[in-house]
Amino acid sequence: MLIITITFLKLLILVTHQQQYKVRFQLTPFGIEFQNDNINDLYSNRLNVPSITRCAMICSTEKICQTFDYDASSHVCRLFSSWADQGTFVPSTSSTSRVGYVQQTTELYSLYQKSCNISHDINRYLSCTNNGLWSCQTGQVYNGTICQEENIYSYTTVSYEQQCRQNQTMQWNGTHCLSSVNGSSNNQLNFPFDLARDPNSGTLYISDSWNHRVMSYIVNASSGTVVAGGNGPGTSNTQLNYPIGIYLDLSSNSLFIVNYNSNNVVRWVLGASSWTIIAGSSSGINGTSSTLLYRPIGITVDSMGNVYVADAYNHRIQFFLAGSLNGTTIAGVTGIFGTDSFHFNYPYALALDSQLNFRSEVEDGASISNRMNILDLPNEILFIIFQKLNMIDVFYSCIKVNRRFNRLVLDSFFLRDLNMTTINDINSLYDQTSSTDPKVLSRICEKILPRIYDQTYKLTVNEYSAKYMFLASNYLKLYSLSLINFQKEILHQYLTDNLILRDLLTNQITHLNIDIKNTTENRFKIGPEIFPKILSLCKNLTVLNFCDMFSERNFVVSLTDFSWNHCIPSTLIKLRIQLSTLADCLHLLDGPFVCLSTLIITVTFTFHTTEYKNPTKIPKLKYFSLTALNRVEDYDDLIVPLLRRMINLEELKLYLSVDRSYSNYIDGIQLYDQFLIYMTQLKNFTFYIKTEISFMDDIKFELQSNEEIQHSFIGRGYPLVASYVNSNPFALDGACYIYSLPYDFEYFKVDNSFQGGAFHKVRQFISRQLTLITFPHLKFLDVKYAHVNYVARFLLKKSMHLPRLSNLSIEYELLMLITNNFTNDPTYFNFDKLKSLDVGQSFVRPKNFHQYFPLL
Amino acid sequence: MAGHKIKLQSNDGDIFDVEVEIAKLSITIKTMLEDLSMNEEEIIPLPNINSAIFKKVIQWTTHHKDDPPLPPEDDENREKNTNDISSWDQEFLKVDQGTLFELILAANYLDIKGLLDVTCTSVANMIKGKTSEEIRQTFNIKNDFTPQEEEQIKKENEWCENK
Repeated sequence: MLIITITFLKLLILVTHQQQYKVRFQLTPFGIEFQNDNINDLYSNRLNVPSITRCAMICSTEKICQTFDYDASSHVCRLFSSWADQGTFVPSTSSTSRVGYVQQTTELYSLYQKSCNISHDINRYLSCTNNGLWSCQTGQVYNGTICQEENIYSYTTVSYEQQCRQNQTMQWNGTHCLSSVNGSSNNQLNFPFDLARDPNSGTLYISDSWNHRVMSYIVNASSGTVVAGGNGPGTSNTQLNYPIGIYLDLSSNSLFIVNYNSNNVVRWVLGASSWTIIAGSSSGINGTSSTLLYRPIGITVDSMGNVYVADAYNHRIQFFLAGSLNGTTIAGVTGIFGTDSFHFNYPYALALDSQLNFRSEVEDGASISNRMNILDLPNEILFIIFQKLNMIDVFYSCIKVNRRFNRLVLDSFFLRDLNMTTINDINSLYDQTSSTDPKVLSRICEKILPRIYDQTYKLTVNEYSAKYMFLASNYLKLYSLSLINFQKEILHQYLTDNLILRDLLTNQITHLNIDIKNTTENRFKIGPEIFPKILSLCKNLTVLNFCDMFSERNFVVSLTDFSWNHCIPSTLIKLRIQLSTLADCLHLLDGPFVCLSTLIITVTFTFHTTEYKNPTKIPKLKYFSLTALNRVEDYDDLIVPLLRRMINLEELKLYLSVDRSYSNYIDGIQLYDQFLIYMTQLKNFTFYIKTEISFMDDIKFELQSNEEIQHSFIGRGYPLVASYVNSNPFALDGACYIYSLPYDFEYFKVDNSFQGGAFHKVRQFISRQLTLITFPHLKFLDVKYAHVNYVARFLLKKSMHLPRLSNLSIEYELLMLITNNFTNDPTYFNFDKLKSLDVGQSFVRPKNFHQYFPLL
Repeated sequence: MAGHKIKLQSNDGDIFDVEVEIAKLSITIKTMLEDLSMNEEEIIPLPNINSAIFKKVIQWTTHHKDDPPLPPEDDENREKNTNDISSWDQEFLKVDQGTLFELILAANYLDIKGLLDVTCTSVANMIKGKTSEEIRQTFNIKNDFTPQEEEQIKKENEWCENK
């Protein structure tokens, strides 16, 4: 037997939390159909199913379905509740028929008697009972390996066809047994929806929706008469199209009928053979205008002949004056649904009282959204939500809400990554108010932590919470620690004095993140003490981020005068660090990092040259990233020799602004010849390199043109490269920009040579209109030396939208100029989110300063 | 192919013509299209999403179709946690709670990370700063602790009352 797994079902089902199970069907070859031993096991026939995959999908979503067969010629999908071995695979008269079935294995029941959560756990083969254990489904018993029917079907001697014919809910069509609960004969109905009663005669009128007709039943009759429609679904005036709401208007001896699928209301005079239009489109068009309806359902008519329609999908009640096709919305708002007193959510029925006030009912079906509660969300979603909260909200409030919240908060999965700070995003670094009440913190630590210590793998603390977090050493599983927003001195003290922290660092921590608050002291003088202390303390450290967690930080490490002499070999594999100068970078690489394979360095200052002494290779290094925030003068003397040592590099990232004298622009040929040729393992090279050339006297080289720069990247395995050259033939200078695409850096300096490209990582250009540009991620803007026109362009909301701008550097005069001495409307500017303003001088804040800078 | 459309069907039967590029913001749909090479004519059913919610999803994905890809989640990427919601999204999320939760489920089912992120953030913002009683009121949650449990929790968390 051919066995094919329809893998896509896995895909569909796996991502569905309401149905957290996968269904794996096996398929027979073509020419086979399923014969069920028990007629009732064929519980549904689906017509017009376009493909076997769709049939399988339907089966998979219906728990009862274990087997299906599908005929690709007739597009019939038959669904069976019996397992494949409870029936027979028989040759089919159709060569395009085949059977799909779930193989009943013990694996399906592997969770039997294991614990479950009744409120959200779902299993296709087991039920979660009130006592929180997986059990067999109703009517089934566990036989030790699988769940099976309590009353195993006893085989009868009656033929399959006979069985079918004897069954009132089935129909034998000559070859197959089909389910037939509904019908279209005059004593049958198919999804009747609404009824109207003639108060004089007692005759009932019933909208027989799926038969596309309205039936009348006189009192005590067992069979009815078609009074409207019955000619199949359609929009012609003799047909109805899923009639739903009906209203009997005795004064005109006619029925008002709502055609759900034709989006209209028609009048059918009793005895007539066709309808006339009352409201909506006679051709079935839906719409939101006053003459159209969208899936109307309910109807009523007042004594003046005015018509009221529950226009469900437009979420409104429409009123049509007698004789008018133009409606007025008398309740709800077209196209907008809601739960407040102004909105409807799929209104489906309505009624008038004697004063012509009306009431409307809202649909209560599967398509309705406003009944969902937060507790209907699965655990993994609630975890996502909790992770967006800080620990005060979680431990202080959520834990007490109800049992499920309590259990989730104390669930080991949530506690694995514990953030004991209020800093859960970058902006909160600036929020002075976000510091935690020490009393609250101490109580959390005292009351809750003892219960959760041993479940935590990752921990984030700041200098406040550190006080409470390192009182006892029970973090048995902790391996990752983030110490963030510390003052340098306080961190140093912890590393020196706190025995528990020291013990954790020495014996357990393999991943460490260090973040130090911005300091006002002279950055060049910051000594190396904390960095080597950490290296010597942490015996098992493999990943370290040292002061490069937030780009706002100005703490840099200077290793000048530091000696590695007493350092033991480090276990570090990955290091990310902000260093003071390039010389520190060289010095770092002379350190005891024998295992280091990933090194990410940001260098802040550059005015340091040193003679290059150490030519030893660095064969372990696989990934190197160097970002120099200021101009680099030592490219040829320091950076090139450094890169040549990295002979086994697989990925290289460079962000450099190079100053060169008496030379030409760095281009593809130079990069290749200088170091790329030595990196035989290199797979990825990402770069932004700006070269500025200056000639001090009359000695000049001829600088390359942009074409030559572009040409230099051809044939050397480069990615797509953008370049721009701005040479000045008269002055003795020039600049050249080269960068790999897509642009991959957080920084970008804009000047007249801006050339475009795909700057996904940093900023995004969306030209909403011809004039408005949005930089949704832009946070830092330095326009200190920019022309006032550019400044205005960036800071005025009418030309640019900077929703996240938090730090601005601007000259005081320019600020006064564009705000017109703080007299222009404050709402004109992109200042609302500013948390730092640098004007380069002290100034007296005007009275209305806060209107411009509400967060400052 | 620009402007190329596919047909997606909500669980209440409505069929939506959606541009492929927009539909592919859903990783679920993207994977289906790529892995299953479903033919163009075939209508893809979305059994977990009704048309009202799907309309909202399309509205969101259409607006965000040119967004840059979200940065990968790792320890170094603290920015992922930003709790800011753009003003467009704030307007978009002015819906009743039920709709918001359905959007979350739809985003999760369709695997649209950005939408999941912003909807969950929106719920988190509704929780933020509230006492447990306020949270219960906001979300209509029944306090189902037994009196004994309540007493126990009160004892363990008595400091909550002093907030």
